[in-house]
Amino acid sequence: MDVVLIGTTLLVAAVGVVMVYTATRGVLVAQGVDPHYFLKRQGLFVLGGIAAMAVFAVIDYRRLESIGMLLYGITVLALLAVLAPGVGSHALGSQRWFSLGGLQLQPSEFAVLGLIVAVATYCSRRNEGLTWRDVIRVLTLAGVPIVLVMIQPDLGTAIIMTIVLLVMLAVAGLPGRILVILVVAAALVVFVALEAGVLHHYQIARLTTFLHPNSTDPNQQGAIYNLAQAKNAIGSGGLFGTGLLHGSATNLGYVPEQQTDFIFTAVGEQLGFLGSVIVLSLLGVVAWRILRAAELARDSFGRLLCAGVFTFLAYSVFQNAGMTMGIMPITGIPLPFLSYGGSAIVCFFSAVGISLSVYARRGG
Amino acid sequence: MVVLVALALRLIDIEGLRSGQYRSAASEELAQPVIVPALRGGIFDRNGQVLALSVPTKTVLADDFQVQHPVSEALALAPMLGVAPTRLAAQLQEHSGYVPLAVNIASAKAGRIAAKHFAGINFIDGSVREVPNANLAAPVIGMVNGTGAGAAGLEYQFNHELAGKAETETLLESPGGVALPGTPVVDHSAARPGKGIELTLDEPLQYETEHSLAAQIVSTNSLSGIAIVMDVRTGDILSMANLVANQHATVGSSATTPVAPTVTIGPSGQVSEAANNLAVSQLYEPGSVFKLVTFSAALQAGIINPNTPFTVPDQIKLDGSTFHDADPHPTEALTATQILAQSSNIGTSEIAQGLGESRLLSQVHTLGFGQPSGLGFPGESAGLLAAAAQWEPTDYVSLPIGQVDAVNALQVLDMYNAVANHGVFIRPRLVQATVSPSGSLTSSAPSASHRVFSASTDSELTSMLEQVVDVGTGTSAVVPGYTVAGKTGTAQIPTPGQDSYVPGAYMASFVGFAPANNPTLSEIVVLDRPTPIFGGTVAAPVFSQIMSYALHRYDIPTTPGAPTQGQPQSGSTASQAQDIT
Repeated sequence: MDVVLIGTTLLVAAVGVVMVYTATRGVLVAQGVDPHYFLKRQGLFVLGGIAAMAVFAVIDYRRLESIGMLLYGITVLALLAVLAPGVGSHALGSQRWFSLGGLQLQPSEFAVLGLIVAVATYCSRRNEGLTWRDVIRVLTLAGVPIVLVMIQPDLGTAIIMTIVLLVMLAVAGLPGRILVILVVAAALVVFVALEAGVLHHYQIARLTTFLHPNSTDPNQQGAIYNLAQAKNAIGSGGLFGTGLLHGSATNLGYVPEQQTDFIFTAVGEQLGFLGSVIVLSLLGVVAWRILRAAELARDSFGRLLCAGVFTFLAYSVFQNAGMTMGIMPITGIPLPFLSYGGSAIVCFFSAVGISLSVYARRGG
Repeated sequence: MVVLVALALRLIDIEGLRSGQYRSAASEELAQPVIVPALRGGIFDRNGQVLALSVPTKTVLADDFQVQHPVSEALALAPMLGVAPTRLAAQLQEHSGYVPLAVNIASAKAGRIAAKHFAGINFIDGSVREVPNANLAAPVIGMVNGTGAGAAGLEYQFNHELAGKAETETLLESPGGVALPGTPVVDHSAARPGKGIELTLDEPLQYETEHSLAAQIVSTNSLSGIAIVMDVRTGDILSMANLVANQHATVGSSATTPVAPTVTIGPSGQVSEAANNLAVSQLYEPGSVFKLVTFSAALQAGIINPNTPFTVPDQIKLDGSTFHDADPHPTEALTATQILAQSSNIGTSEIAQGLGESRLLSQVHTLGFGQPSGLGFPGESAGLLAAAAQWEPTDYVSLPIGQVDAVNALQVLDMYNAVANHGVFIRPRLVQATVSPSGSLTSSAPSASHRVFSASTDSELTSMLEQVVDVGTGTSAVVPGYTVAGKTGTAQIPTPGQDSYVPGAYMASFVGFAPANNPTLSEIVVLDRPTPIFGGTVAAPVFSQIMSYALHRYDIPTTPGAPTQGQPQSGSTASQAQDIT
């Protein structure tokens, strides 16, 4: 068992629970409701996540190979269902959730995991290398959930899935020229999407907001406000931070969506530069241990799983933290283990669980 | 690794290099100042009579979201506010959260409403500025603007003292404008009520001054008028009237925005308070009252004495221009005293030529012209003087008779007050004390003074000015029982932008002091474009009327041997010596 990975993951999640509390307490107090509401729920999510991690760590990851296509099928069905009228829930202009009792389930989070398992399953069976025919099959396989996620629309997750797919294909031994062609093709798709009106104007505006912080485009005002508040909060932290529950912007609820997508601003303001670097470093350690599991994996399936999980996690961290600091586009990607939200927490813990399983059954 | 480094670099940028910038941007948004204005200090006359006072009020606001039964609440509240219940019921259902129901009502009335504890009814403190004496001395007192800050006159000049210090605190608020429980209040500072100011003005004398002046403005059909009474020894301004005839209500205000008179005074309400303090802001060519500059300098220099004889034709030619006295006369032999008493322009010019250019210009400066009076009154003008470099030969006639330099009425009075004050020039004063909120007085510093004439010159000047009233152009200024010294002026009015005068338009004035043997009060009266035109005819009687009231009000002993009957006042120009400069 990789105790370093387990310990670091738990530590980051604990910081996350505290941050979610500090980011929500003030507003809950003002509303006269239980100030521990989000604290308790995030605590429960983390417990659920630990359980999921334990399950995936104990199960031999090779058993996932046999149910890989089943998981893929469930993922696609869930993504279809969430779009069905009367089944999925609307929130913030898109349809990505199921409501189950008091819980909201976001299948697109799990779709990334499903994609990783499915692609790993397919590619690990092609030990002699991938042909053009395989590439087309994998692209079709991955394309279905990616398109479904885009329709929701959840552009951020679709981008992550695409990047995870490309990295896994590279690890799977895809010839360099095909990889180049795919990357060019992906770039072309992005260009066409931007130019041909496949994307809504507001999506483009939001994606490019971080490049135009002074734009007057009405579609960008919400994102500009969000980003400005995020940078104000982080910048207010300075070197050592304001201290827990002493961050004015955080306590008074100035950063929209702070407990979810913008949780890093609560870290930045209250814990300062030092705290932010420590939190990012902990996430870096988690990513490094997963990468190490990929290197030590006994078979290509395990290696591909870990490579996918690593890409998923590392890109999420960079995308999310970068977004709050204005160097990446604003998309609805959570910060692993820190952002409030059950689906993401359980999903990332599961991913670590898979990595733990691969590490535990490493070669030699 | 690359990813981590990129994030760390950006963190250094935001939290290190530009941290201060983001922090101030954040706190600008969070911090909401709350300001509760302090009660403004009052303005009082020299005896503590109220001229302007701020009265605390309440404004009644409804947070109509809190009102659960708008109709029944409106029925109960309407009689207390004195408004129709239907209108009130509608206001209580606006769903705006902020509905002013009544602005600036009396605190007692608000207290009765507050005692009923109506749901959603709140009060905020305010005040109104009240002037109990209608608009008495309004151009001097000035006014406050809609926010209660001084906007004109003494209200503006002494705004810092009057306003006090508002109660301020800074709250940290959420984006919804809610101060969160337990959020610290930063920068709280308590209110400090404004100080009052006690003026040198004497309310009853101000009233008498305004009414005497108003009556004369009406009866002479003047555009406007100025009258000032001063305490000779202290320079205290006891009254200062600035009035305009209503058909000319734009005099002294911006021509494009005529000020509607709010309060009218005088016969039939035909006269209003001027829009500003003309006594210090309106420049005019003073005419013959300016001859004192020449006479004082010549006496001081020893060039003349009161009995120095002069041969005075009724006109002279200088540099191609012809100058003449007001009335044609044969070439006369006149003493210096007679030249002043009859206000002979030609005779004055002869004295000025003996004095010379530099001594003449120097005396203009010595007597305070071209300089601020020291009041510091908002909008005060120091005057426009001819510079030595622009001297022309014709100025030997024009300047001594007050047709070159532009001055204000207070400056002319200051000069005559120096004669009355035995040759000591004293700065005028309008504020004699400040009044703390607890009522204790802090006296203002006495006015600065300096000697401008020797005692002997001064007594000669006084005798000569007495002759003006006794036998000269100013006989209408006589105050029964007192000796009076003074000078008339009937000055032409320059055409704006042209090197000529407005035909038939004159500034008529009389300035002087009494009792001449022991001067106590000095006074100036100026009328803009009166009919008849002469200062001795229109301004001198007003001077006499106001001076008589003031001398009796202050129990000034009468002068033994002074005439007990006033000269018959004449409306015609023929029966009296006149001056036109």
